[in-house]
Amino acid sequence: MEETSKESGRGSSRRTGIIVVAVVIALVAGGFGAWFAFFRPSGVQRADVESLDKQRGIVDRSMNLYDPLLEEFTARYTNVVAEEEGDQQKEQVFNQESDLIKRESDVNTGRLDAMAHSPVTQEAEIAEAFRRFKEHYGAVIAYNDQRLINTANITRSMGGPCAPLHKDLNVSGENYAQEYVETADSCLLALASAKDKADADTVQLLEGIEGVVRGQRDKQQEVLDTTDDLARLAKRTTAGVAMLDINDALDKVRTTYEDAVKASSTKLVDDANASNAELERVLKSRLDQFGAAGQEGK
Amino acid sequence: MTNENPGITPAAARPRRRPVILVASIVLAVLVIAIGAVVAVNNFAGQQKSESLSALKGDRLNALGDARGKVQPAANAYLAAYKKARNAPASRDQAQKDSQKEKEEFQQASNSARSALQELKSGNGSGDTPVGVAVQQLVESHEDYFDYMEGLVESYPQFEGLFRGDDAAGCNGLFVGSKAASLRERQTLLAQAAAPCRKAASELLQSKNNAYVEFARSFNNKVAELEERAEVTAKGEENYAEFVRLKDDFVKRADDAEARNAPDAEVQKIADDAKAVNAQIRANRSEFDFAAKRYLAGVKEMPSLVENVFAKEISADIKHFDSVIPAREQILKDTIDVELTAN
Repeated sequence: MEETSKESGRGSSRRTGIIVVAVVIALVAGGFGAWFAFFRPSGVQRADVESLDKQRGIVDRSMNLYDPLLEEFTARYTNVVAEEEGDQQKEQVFNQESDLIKRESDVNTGRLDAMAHSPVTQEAEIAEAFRRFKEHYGAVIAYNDQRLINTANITRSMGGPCAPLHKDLNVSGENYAQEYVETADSCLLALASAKDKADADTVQLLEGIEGVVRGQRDKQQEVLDTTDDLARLAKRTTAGVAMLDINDALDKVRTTYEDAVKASSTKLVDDANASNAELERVLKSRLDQFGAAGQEGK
Repeated sequence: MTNENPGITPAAARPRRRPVILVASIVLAVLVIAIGAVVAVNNFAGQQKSESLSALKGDRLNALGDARGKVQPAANAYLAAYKKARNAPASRDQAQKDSQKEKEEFQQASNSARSALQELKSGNGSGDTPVGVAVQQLVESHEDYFDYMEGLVESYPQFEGLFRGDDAAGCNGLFVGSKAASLRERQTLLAQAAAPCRKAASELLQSKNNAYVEFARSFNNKVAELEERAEVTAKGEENYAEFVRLKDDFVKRADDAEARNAPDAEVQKIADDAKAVNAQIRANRSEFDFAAKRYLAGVKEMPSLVENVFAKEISADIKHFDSVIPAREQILKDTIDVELTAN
C-alpha cells in the first residue's frame, strides 16, 4: 500500500492485477467451498445405490422379528386371559404387548418410506422393482398387524368365555344341560364380538366354531325344554352322544383355518421374497454400471 | 477501468476508488475465510460423525455383546449355587448367605451390561434418525432381557422354596393324599396348606420375570380348583353316609308296610320316595366322581406345572431373546452402514 501511494501509475495496473487475482481466487475458493458444502453432485451416485441396497436388506431382516414378537404376544396374552379374573390386568398385558408390535410396524413402514426418498428409486428401471418391493413388504407388515388382531380376538373368546365348555363342565352332571346352555350363550356372545376387525379367514374360523357350539347348545336346550322324564332321558343321551363329535367338528374347523392362514401367509412371504430378489438384482446391475463407467456417476 | 468523464482528474477519482477496492477485497477475503471455515467445520463434523458411528458399530456394540454374554452364565451360576446350598440342606436365609458371592457376581455382570447399554445409548438414542430408531429398538430389547434375568435371579428363592419342607410356603402340604382319614379331613388339611402356599405364590406375581408371574397365576388357580374339588368330594362323602341312613330307613319302611299289608297308595309313596332318593344318589355320585377325577388330575399336574417353568417357559423366553437381540444388532449395524455410505 505504501508503494501505491508513491507511484500511482505503475501501482494502479499492479493493483488491478492483484484485484483480478484476488477475485479469481475468491471465486474459485467460493465455488469449491460451495461445491463442498452442498456436496451432492447431480445424478445418482454409487453410494446412493449401495445405501438403498443396504436399506433393502434392513427391511427384509426386520420382517424376521414379527414371528418371535407375535409368539411372545400370544404366550403372554393367553396366560393372562386364561388365568386372570380382572379385566385391568388383561388390558395391561394386551396394551403392553400389542404396543410393541404396533411400534415395530411403524418403524418398518418408516424404513420403507425412507427408501422411497432415495434418488435411486426415481430411476425408471428401479422404480418399478421398488414399487413391487414396497407393495409386498407393506403387505407383510399389514398382514402381521392383522395377525395381532386375529390372535387377540381368538384368545379373548376361545381362551375366555368359551374355555369352560370343554374344560370345566361335568358331562354326566345333573345340571349339565343348563350349565352348557348358559356357558354356550356367553361363548357365542364372545365369538360374535371377536369377529370385529378380524380378517376373512378368522371370521370363517369363528363362524365355524359358532356353528359347532350353537348346534350343541340347541341340543342341550331341547333337553331342558322336554318335560317328560323318559323323553328327556332320550334327548340327553342324543345330546351326550353328539358331544362326542364336537372335537372332530372343532378340529375340522381349526385345520381349515390353519391351512387357509398358511396358504395366505406363504403366498405373501413368497411374493415378498421374489420382489426382494428382483430389487436386489436390479440394484446390483445398477452398481455394475458404475464399475463399467469407472468410479464416476453417469 | 476506462475513464468516462475526463472532466474529473483521475487523481481525484483514484483516492475515492481506493477504499471501495479495499472494502471489496476485505469482503472477498472474509468470504473466502468464511467458506473455508464452513467447509472445514462441515468436514470435521462429518468426519466426527463418521468416527462416532464407526465406534458405535464396532467398539460399543462389541462391548455390549461381551457384557451381555456374561449375564446368563452368571445367572446360571447363581441358581446352581443357591440350589446347592439349599440342598445341603440349609434354610432359605442360610442358602442366600452361602450364594452371596454368586449373587454379587451376577449383579456385577448385569450392572456392567446395563452401563454398556447406557454408553451405547448416550448420544445416539434420539428417535428421529434411522440410527436413533435402531438404537432405541436395540435398547428396549436389551432392557427387557436384563429385567428378565434380574427377575429370574431375584425371585428364585421364593420360587424354589414353594415346595420345600422347611419353607414357610409349605406347598408340599397340598399333597395330603393318604394322610387324611376322611375326605373332610383331606379338605381341611388342604385348606390349611393352601393358605400360606397361595400367599407365597402370590408374591411371585410381583416378579420382574414373567415366567414366574405366569406360573404364579396358573398355580394359584390350580390350588383354588383343588380346594373347590376337595370340598365337593368331602361333601359327597358326607352325603353318602346320609344316603346309607336313608336307604336303611326305606328298607325298614318297606318291610314294615309289607308286614301289615299296607294299602297300595302307601307302598306307591314309598317307591316314589325311594326313586327320588335314588336320583339324588346318582347325582351325588356323578358330582363326586367328576370332582374326584379332577382332583387327582390336578394333583398329578402340579409337579409338571412347576417343572415347566424352567424346562419350558424360561427356555422358550431365552430363545425369544436369542432370536430378537442378534437381529436388532444386525439391523443397527446395517443402519450405520447406510449412514456411513451416505457420508
